[in-house]
Order: sequence, then structure tokens, then C-alpha cells
Amino acid sequence: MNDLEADKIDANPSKEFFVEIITRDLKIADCLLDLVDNSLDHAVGEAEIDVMTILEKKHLSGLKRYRIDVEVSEQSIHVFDNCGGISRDEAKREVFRLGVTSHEATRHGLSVYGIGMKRAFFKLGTLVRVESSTRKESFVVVIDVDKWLAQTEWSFEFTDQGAPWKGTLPGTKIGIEKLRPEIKRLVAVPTFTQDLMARLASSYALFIIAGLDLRVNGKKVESTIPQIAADAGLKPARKKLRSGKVDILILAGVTPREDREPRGWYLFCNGRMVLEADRSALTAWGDGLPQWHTKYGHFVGYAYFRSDDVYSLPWTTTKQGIVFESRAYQEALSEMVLHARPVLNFLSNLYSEVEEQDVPGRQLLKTAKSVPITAIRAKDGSFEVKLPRRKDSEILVNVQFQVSKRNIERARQAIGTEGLSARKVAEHAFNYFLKHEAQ
Amino acid sequence: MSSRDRLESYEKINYLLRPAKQVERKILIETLHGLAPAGLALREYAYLGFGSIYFADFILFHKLLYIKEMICVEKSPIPRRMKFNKPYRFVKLWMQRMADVIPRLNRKRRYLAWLDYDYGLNEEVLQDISGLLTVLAPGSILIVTVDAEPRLPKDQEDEELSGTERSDRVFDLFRHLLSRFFENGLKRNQVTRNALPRTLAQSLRLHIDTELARRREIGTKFLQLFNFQYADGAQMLTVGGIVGDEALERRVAASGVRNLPFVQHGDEPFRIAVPPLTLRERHWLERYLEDSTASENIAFELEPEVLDHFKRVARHYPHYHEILI
Repeated sequence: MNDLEADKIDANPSKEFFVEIITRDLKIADCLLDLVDNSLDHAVGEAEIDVMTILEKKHLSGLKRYRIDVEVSEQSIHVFDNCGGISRDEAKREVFRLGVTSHEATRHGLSVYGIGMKRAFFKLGTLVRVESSTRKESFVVVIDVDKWLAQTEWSFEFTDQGAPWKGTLPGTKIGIEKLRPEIKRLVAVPTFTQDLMARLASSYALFIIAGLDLRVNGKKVESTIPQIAADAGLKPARKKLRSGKVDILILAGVTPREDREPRGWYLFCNGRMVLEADRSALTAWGDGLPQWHTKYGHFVGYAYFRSDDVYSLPWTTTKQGIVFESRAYQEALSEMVLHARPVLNFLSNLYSEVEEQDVPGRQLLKTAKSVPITAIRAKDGSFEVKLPRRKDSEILVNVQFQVSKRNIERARQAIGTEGLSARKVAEHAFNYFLKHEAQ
Repeated sequence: MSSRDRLESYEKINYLLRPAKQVERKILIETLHGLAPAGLALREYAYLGFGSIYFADFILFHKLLYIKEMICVEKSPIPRRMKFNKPYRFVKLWMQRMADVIPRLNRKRRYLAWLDYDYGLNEEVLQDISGLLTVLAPGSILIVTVDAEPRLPKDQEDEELSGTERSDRVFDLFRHLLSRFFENGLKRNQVTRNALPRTLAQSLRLHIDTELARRREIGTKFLQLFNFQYADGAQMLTVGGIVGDEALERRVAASGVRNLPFVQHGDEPFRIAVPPLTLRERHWLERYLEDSTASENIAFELEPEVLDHFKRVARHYPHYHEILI
């Protein structure tokens, strides 16, 4: 027995692994999003709301009474919510355990790998206070990371537990102090709040549409998600499919003319955006689709993945990417490519002809309305373009040629209008020729 | 570029007068009929193809395969000319690119789809294949034809190029397209005029197999039937087969269609060459020709190679006459 013991190879995880290693690739915004996910997961569970139905043109306001506040300063980071709170039992069994996946995985939640919240704590600071109250009870847990690292025991302890909060809705308050030096520095950057708000605005766009009140330092985050151009002659593609336990909805079209941002693919898992404006091989650019090019700037595609079994969704542990090899994603990708190609052909054609006003596709874009993704047709169909018919006489051609400056001057004098541009002079000459020599 | 180079291929040559192509069409028809015992009744299929102004394949497939649902895809801006030449009312004309049409296909329908390009393999061709393999119902038939000359596409051709510059560019072009299909990359000797058809056949097969592996039905496989090379001018390559599975593969094997001499499941293309013969010569050969007949026993001079070519296509050999109408 002793011999066996002596030969044993220690493969136990170390606390440092969790505190130092798995936090390495994480960005500060990802951590804050992890904390918001955690709050939102409770809200979605309590309200029993499925934000993907927004895309079936269903009006949703089920998250109206929920509010999540993110407060960031150089001293501390706080996340407050009124999303129902964590029960003591949940806290004991799941919430604080590392890598223990939450729930029985039977609802379309946002909590998956049982790692986000804890990883966020470790990344951001070394003194963490979690207070939570359900309708029945409340608790407080304080984690001093340095002390915890020093002890051999892995568990945390309730600092306090008692009756539910009075006067406020049940919820959770997370406070992180003794911020790590690199976090302090980043938080102090003047654009930090704005950048964070932009990330939240897109990542939780669907939840905000469904009523969620999300704030950063008191400022309300508005949902931002590109709109799609639609018209009688211009219809975006839509395709719904199911792969295993995952429902997939794909939309593809063009953004309205006034949208000058280069877009790409937007991918969501259970309502949470995991890939924003992607123009890489991850969404088939250069591998199934042509390489992305500025002429495709108006292309916009959405792929929504929804499942009650959160493990079968193709999200990564940081929720900032996609598991490319997953079956659901591979099936979705074939359809994404299929429906994107007609859109890209349409955009490509806008540039193949010579003169701007000559391209009927551009006319179509000009008159198309800007439609929010919640108002797109709820029936499957491919991208449709009906170009207005034109007569030959309506088609314009760009003519370009060079003449000497002297000759333009001679022609201008012959016309007799001073200050006439070279282009006008040439037009005049052309029309004069047509009038006298043609027909 | 001369004005002739700018012409579309349908403007250069009357599609009805391409003997090797015509033989290919007849071989396709014979083979496809042979699939009936395997449970694939072609008359119930829908045909999807590039009809061009001649609609040659549409006419033939309607008359000889009895197909009554047809979609013609045409990207050239000649809607009135296409409509004018459309031989049957039931042919649907879609004046778009293939990519625009694919998402609109009925996924429950079996198609006979022939991507008969008059240019070489490029990204768009590979993407069209991927798209079709995503939507084609099991039992559908996919045939792909591409130009197999080691040359630059029309829009990249430049008369100023020296011989080596041109061959470097051609090699770069194919290396970019095909390297991923070959473990050790693409070698220069794989893109010579002689080797290119086989290289393209291998690449197309691998591309098709890769795409099928992504399909939602597990176990879908490509049951290759066709791998032809021929030249009525430019050298062309055709690869085709059935989107099937193991059960269908057994039925196809039992149907005997794979015993037809021109059915090819390997990488080596079957050559279709149509040697020019006079009508008398052809009749003599048809009457006296047995498989064992050696060229020295023939009543006139005929190279053994030419004789061999004739034997391969004898039943499908086309003959053209001028008729004043």
C-alpha cells in the first residue's frame, strides 16, 4: 500500500491553476459579461422567457421588471441585480464550486460551464463579497483570495445567513475590491465605460429589447444590433432548422444604405451574442464564401442557436467565440453559406457596372426601409431581389477620355460660356454631335 | 484580347455540333436509364442545368429521360433570347447565378443537376457544388463539368505574358485552388495538359466527399458513376454520381450499371474521343467490327488508337449532315 502511495503521481488541480492560469486569456470586459450572464441567467429562469421568440415577431416584455447595474471604479467593481437571487442550497452545491455545471441543464439559460463567475472574481480582484437573497432566505459570502490560496481547504464559508432582504426585490450583490493592478489601470482608461457599454449593448441586445434594464455606472445601455434593409423587391433570407437538441435560425441580408459600418455575421447562443460582425474563416469567409472585401460591407447575417441543453450549444467557455467543430455549428454553417451567397452576389453586382446611378440594385437599396430584426418576415425563404426593369435608354454609361488642356480651352471658347467645367464642355460637344450627326 | 476571345462560348460554337459532348450526353442517358432497377426512376426527377440558347441537354433529357420538370439557369443578360429559344413551356428560366438559385430548390425533390460550366474550376464552382450538396435530396444526381485546359481564366489572360510567366501563373492559380486536396501540396506535373483532368477529377471527388460529410444525414456518400475527359476544342472534364448511402450503393451495384464500360468510379477519367470517319467507314466498322478485330484486318487504313477510340463510342457515334430547311 505504501509502495503504491509512493508511486502515485499527483494530478490534483491546484488553486493557482484557477486563480492564475484559466484567467489569463480573459479580458476584463469578458469577466464583467460573465457576471452579467450570471444575473441574467436567474432572470431568464424566473421569468421563463425565451428571447429567441423575438425573432418570430413575438412582442416580448417579460424582462421589464429586471435590472442589472454594473458599477466600475478604480477602487471596486460592483454588480447588483434584482433577478431573484441565489438560494443557500444553490450556493452550497453549485455556485461557488469550480467547474461544476449548474442546473440539470433543462432550460435555455446562460450558465454553462460553472466557471465564469469564479473566474471573473479571480481575474478582477482579491477581495470578493457576494450577498444574495431569494424570497425565502439570504446569505453573505466573503472570499479573501490570498487567504484562500494559503489554506489547504478548497471550500468557502457563509459569512452570514438569515432572513430574506426587506424592502428590496430578491437579487444578488457582488462586490470586488482590492482590484488587481492591471485591472485598475484598464478601468482608469477614459474610454473604458463607453467600450464596455458598447459590448453590453450588442451582447445583450435581445434581452434589452425584451425589457431588461441594464446600466453601467447608472447609465442605461440601449440595445444595438444592425438593422436589415427590406422592401417589396428586397427580402432577407430566413431559414430555421434543428440539429440534435439545438434550434437554429439564420437570417441574411443587407444593411440599410445609411448604415456605414462594415458588418458580417452575428452569432447568438440562447440570446447572448457570442460573435459580433465576424468576417473571418470562422464564419466561412475565404472558405465557402469569398474572402471578405469592403464591397461586402453591407452584408449582415445572424445565426441564433437555442437549446434547453446548454452544453449542446456551440459557445466557448468565454462566450466570445464559437466551437467550430460542433455538429450544430457545422450544420448551421452550410446553411449560412447557402443563404449568404445570393446576398454577396447582389452586393458584388453593385460594383460591377460603371456609373453609380446606373446600378438598379443601388436604387433598390435607396428606397428600401430599415427594418429591425424583430420585424423580419417569420417565414423561411431565400434572399430575394426584384430589380426594376429598365429600358436601354435609361441605362447610363460612364465615358472617360483625355484631351489636351489647350483643346478643351478652344472648345470652351467656341461654346462661349466662361468657367464651364471640362466635363460640361465634353457633354456639350457630345450632345452637339448627336443633334447634328446622329439619326 | 481579340473580340473573339470576349465572346461567350455559345456565341463561338453551336453546341449541337460538338460530337464528343453529344457522345457524353448519350452516355449519361444510357447510364441514368440503367439506374431504374436500383429504384431511381429518372422520369420523376427535376432537371437543373445551364441550358444556354441551344437547350441541347434539355431537349435530349426530356425526350430520352422523359423528364418534365426543368430549371434552366442563365447568368448572361440575354433574357429575351433565352425565352425565345426555350423549347418547352415547362422549362423554368431563372436568369441568375447558380448560387442565387440553390437556396430556392425544393429539398424534398430529387434533382438531376448538371453544373456544365464552360470555364475552368474556380472558387465559385466549388461553392456551387457545396451549396447543391447541402440541399440535394438523397437519390439526386450531381454532375459537374469544367474546362480542363491548364490556362488562365479569360479575365486574367494577358497577351504580354511570356511563356514561363504564364505557366507560373497557371500553376499558382491551381495551387491556390487545389493544394488542400493533396497531402503534399500540388506539384507542377499535376497541372500539365495531360495530367490536369485526373488532378481535377481527384480534387472534385475530395471536395464532394468533404461536403457530404457535413450533411445532416450521417452516412451520405457519393456514388460516382462518371469521370470523363473529352475535347471538342478545349479539353473538358466531367465528374458525376449519386448522392446516396450504403443501402443505395448496394442497389446500384446490383443493377449492373457499373458494368457499363464507360462507368468510372476511380480517379482516372474515361476518354471520349470521336475520330472523324466517313459514313462508309463507319458503316463498314459497324457491320464487321468485333471486339477482337485488329486494325490490320480493316478494309482501310486506321491507326489502332483511332480504332480503339471508335470502339469506345461506337454506339453513341454521332453523324452530322447539312439539311437545307
